[in-house]
Amino acid sequence: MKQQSPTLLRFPGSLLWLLPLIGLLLLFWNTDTVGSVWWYIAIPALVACVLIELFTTVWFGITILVLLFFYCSIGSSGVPISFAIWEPSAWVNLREMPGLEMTEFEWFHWWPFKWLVAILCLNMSIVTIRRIPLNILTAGVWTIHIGVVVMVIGSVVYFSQKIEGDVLVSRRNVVIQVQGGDPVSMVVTPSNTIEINGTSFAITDINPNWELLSGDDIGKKTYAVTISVDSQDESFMRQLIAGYPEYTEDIIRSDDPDQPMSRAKNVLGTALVDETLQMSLEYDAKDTFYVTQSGAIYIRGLSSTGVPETEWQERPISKLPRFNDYISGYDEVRTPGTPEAHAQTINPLTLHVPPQSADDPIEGDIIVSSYLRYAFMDSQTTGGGTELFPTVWVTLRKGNEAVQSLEMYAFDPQSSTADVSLMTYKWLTNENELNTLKKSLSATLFATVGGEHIPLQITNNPEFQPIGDSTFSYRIQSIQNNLAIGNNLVSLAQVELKNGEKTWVRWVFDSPEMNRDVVEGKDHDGANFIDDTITMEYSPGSAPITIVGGIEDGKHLLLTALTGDEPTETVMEVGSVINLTPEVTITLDKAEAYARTVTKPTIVPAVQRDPSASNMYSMVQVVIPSPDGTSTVWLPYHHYPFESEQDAVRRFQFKPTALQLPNGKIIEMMFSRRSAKLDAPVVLDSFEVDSHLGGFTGRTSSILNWRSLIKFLDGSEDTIAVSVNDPKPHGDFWFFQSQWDPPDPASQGLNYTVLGVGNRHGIFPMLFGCCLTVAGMVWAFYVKPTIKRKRQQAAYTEVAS
Amino acid sequence: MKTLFAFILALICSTTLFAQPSEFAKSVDMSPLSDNVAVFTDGRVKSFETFARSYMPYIMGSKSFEGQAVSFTYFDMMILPERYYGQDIIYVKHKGLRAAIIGEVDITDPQTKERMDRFMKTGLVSREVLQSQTVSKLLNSLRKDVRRFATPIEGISGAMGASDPRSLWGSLKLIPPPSGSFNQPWSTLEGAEDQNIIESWRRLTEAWQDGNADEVNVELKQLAVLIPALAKGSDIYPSPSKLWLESIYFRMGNFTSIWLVYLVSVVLLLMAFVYRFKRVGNIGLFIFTIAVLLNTLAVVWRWYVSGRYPNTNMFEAITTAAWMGGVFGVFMECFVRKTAMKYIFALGSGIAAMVALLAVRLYPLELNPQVSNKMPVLHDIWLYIHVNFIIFAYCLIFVAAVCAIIYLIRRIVQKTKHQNGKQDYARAGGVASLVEVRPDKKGGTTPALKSNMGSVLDGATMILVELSFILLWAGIVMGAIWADHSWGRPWGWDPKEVFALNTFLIFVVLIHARIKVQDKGLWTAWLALLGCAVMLFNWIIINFTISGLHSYA
Repeated sequence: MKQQSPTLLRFPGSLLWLLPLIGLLLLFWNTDTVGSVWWYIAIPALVACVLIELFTTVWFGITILVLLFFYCSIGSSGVPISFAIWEPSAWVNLREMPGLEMTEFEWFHWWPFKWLVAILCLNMSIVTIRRIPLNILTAGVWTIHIGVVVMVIGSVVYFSQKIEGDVLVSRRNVVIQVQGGDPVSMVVTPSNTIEINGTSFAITDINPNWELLSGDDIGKKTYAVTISVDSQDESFMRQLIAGYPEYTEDIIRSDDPDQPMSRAKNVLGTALVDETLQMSLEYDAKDTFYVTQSGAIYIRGLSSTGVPETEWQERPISKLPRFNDYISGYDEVRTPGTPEAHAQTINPLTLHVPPQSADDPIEGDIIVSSYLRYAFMDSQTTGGGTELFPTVWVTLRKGNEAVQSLEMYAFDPQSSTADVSLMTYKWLTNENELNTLKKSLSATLFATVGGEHIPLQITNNPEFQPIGDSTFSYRIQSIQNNLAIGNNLVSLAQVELKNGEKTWVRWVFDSPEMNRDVVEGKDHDGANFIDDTITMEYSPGSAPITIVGGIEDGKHLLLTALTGDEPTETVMEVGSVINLTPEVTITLDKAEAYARTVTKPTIVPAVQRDPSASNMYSMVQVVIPSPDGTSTVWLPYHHYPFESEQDAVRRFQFKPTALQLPNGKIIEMMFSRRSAKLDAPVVLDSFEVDSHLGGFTGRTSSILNWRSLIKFLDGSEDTIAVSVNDPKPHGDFWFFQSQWDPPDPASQGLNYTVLGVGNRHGIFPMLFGCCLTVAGMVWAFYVKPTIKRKRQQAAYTEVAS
Repeated sequence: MKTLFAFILALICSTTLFAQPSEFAKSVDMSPLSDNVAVFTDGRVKSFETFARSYMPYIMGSKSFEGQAVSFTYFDMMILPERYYGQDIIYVKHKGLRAAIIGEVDITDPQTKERMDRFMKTGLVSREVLQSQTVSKLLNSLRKDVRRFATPIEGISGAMGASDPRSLWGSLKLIPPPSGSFNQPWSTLEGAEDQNIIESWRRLTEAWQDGNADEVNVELKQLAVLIPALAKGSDIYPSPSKLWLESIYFRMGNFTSIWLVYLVSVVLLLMAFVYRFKRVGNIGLFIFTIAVLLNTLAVVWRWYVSGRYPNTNMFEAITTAAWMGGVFGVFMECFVRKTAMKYIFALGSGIAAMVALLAVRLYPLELNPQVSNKMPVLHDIWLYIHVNFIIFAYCLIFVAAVCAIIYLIRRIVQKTKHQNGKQDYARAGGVASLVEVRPDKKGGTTPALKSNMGSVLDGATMILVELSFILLWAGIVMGAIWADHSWGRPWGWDPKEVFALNTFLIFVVLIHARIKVQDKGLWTAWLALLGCAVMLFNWIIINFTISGLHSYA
């Protein structure tokens, strides 16, 4: 006779479990512990008790498994939106959509998944206890189910405490102490520079495999850094060798042309030029790591001279989106595509980010109001300015095809997108200036011989042309207009002069004081004339295509001198097409007298985004409310919140945003990741690369292994090797090899390492559960039939006999 | 049937059979150089034959130029680049891109139209077409579509660059470092200091330009002796036998033709299984065993030439899975030779191995057969344990799906005959159906499995499901152990991990549903098929389309 279940474990008695369920729900609700570990232990268990009949069925378990399958699939691959499933564009990931914005980790840590797993475990346990008698034949099933439950318990411990991130550790910092000053450091990275009291210190060379040439460790390879020291008084280079401060020495210029640089020891008799200047290579100790897929705003106050007053003050951002754009208005960004595309992106955020420290220069919350997944800051000129800044936008076309769109500024021709030697925009205020411009539109060349001012024709005639009635003749070698020399633009006619049998070249500049004759093999500094009885003047004229504005409101003229004939003048109307040549036309698209430059993010279209870039091109807009007014600023993403330019390593940007608040306070802000403390500061002693045959070729396939030799500054002197497939624990965290500084044409690399950091609580229960499960499967599928066979044979033999 | 026959014939006869190389190309014998001279490329040395076969696909895909040997085309393109001007030598893989390019070409001229039609079919187009203003503009604009076109357009740019004679020359690093040092880079012939080599190379290029095949052959033989002699006394140069075996391996198409032997065995085994032709079955088993032995030879051969167990890329994973399936089939046939399950495992394994080998033969670009170095993260013992467990499990899942398909076909046939096949299933389960017993009519015992075809197929499916169930789970656990000490965490919800788990979930559903449903055979077959589909989705779509941490495997 089948044994009757207790009343509380069968319907309708099981409904009595509703009472403790409701009580616990209220308790969790009031104590704000909904979603905690205890919630997932207690509530599903009571739900199972209420619905005990349902939880005792295998079909219910199968249903949960099917739901888990779909949940996993949707969160991992996404869902296809076309039949071409082999195309990446066919897959849309629901968890990345607005409203969810979840990483894989978050999707599989979300309450529906936890509920499904909890219900599955309860169903499995209840069915096992109530429906499967424990005996030798069912030991396999029991073991499997116990193994799964143990594994899930381990997973709960693991995932509830999981923290994962990375730390960038450079090999060394250069610590510099000038006499009477405090030590200042900069990280060793190519071309890093720092200025202290008017002396510039620049890293000029880094050798990650410097071979010692003397001493006890001769032949040993270490890390050597050369720093150029430049001041008004002295200029030399100092070489520092990691681990061997006694080998520090200076290299100075010498008079020996065969060896322009010499060891100070050989020239001056001492190793150091300046004994009071102390420099050393010190470890770059890092005591924090940055959490994967997190967000934080870093803030610090700046002095009026721009010097940080404190270290970065971190404000973690909760629920920051990752995959979609959220903007608070059309005007905040530039978006590609149609107005409809604009409408889709309007979706402002209101994420309050409170201060975490008393040192934070802003007292109240700041608000993240926009987030862009993939954008770049871009400056564009537009109308609506308050100061006169004439700007025109024109398009050159060949046939119906736009060849070039140009933006030209009258007051800043150098910044215009047109080649100023071919095309320029002038802002004139009256007709006189226009007439002068028209006259000077063509280039002119004059020679003065014996007081006579003679105009010369600018031609490419290869023959010498006479200069008036003088004995001189000339031919043009080349015309080079608008050459950038330093901060100036100069124009130059290279003219070959001949007087009798003598020929020479004269450079005739648009500034006559720069004119000179060129003698082969001599420096061209200063005026130097072979024959000063002839002087010359060159005027480059205006560009062959000159747009003129300002004479009349809204009216623009096009002056062209393309054919060498008289310049032509055409009125330019916005939108009208003017032929420059029979094939090429010019159109004035827009003209603004009061233009202004607006810098704001430009959103990169989805199809142009590199998926591997992840959130490296993301940015947030931050609103800083205060009683004096509100400030708004865009902050681009930084992978690491370096303290200063000197602390930043190559490949990682350091562009904090400074702004002045309405109350006059100057602050600096940066958008980066949340930090977490390590158990002890970590330093990188050395970095090694093992390669395959033929050494490193520049491709990963030639690499065998990367190895970071690290130390923890916790009193231990041990060097620990962290390499691929060989992570090392320290305290609560494991450290594994993640990224490196590969050599490239600019550097021999190996200056830093990026170590992955993560904890792994609950691993052993998980592993034990998995092993139990495997053992149970083997028992259920292979041992059980053998036992049954023996029993069957015995029974059939008994029956037969 | 006719179509199938034509398809098989087309596969057997490669396109080279129909193309006509020039007289010069026919007369030049590249083999002395191809089989004796090593070329350095990215941390490995390969025979020139292998190197050329790995390089030329970057330009021409899997196609050959006018039926020429690949090694010949490499030299010819390098020495006589003008011969290839205007020729269709650049392979465009993306069919949408082909159509877009053709849309930019003026095809009013019938000859151009014919050429573009050929381009659409073969994917081969000339550099000149790709460099034309309109096509360049198109490609530049499409390049901005990162997700769809950036990679194929990069492939085109790469092919154009690779076909440049300077690239061909710069990639031909034949000269070992004079020091014989392991870490020193190899150089091109420009780095050769031996005057004999320099002179011989000069004579070779002159003879090549003159079309003097005899002189070319003499110099090729000369270089094949002189260049390896540079590394005499050092161990950085591969042995002549290894270079030769490597060349042969690739010249034989990586032995993927073994699929034909499997095909013959499958036909015979199918007849034997369905009609119980004992003699045909024995012949089928014999041919199947031959196929497995050949497959073993191919795996061992590759193991030798690559210097490592072959399981580090997709080609190796699939061919090794095929071999594992074959070995499993032989083993199981020995085990079940006296049961009603005879032939079914060989049949299933044969079909699985045949499909696997056919796939790598048909898709040489996606499933690149070239030997390359392992990614640093793969230098670990768990590579061999975890990956082999997983690929063996995947192989068994495929074999189970084959059995399930045959079962479903039988059910359809039964339905057309108004027969009920619901009762035809292995009552005891998988292995249990062979191990457990029931009383026979003679008063003794007999295996619990009934001998009707439905029960046999269902029992075989269950045996495979049970084994793959354990192997897959153990493989996932081992992968987690490896990930834990490689990436610092055992489970990261990477798509590949998730879909391995999903495959397992399907089999968990199968095992539990089998307890509850009435039509156990039908449910088992459908779920086994679904499990296989999820496994294939993981192996194909996740790997090639949805990237993750396992993108190298």
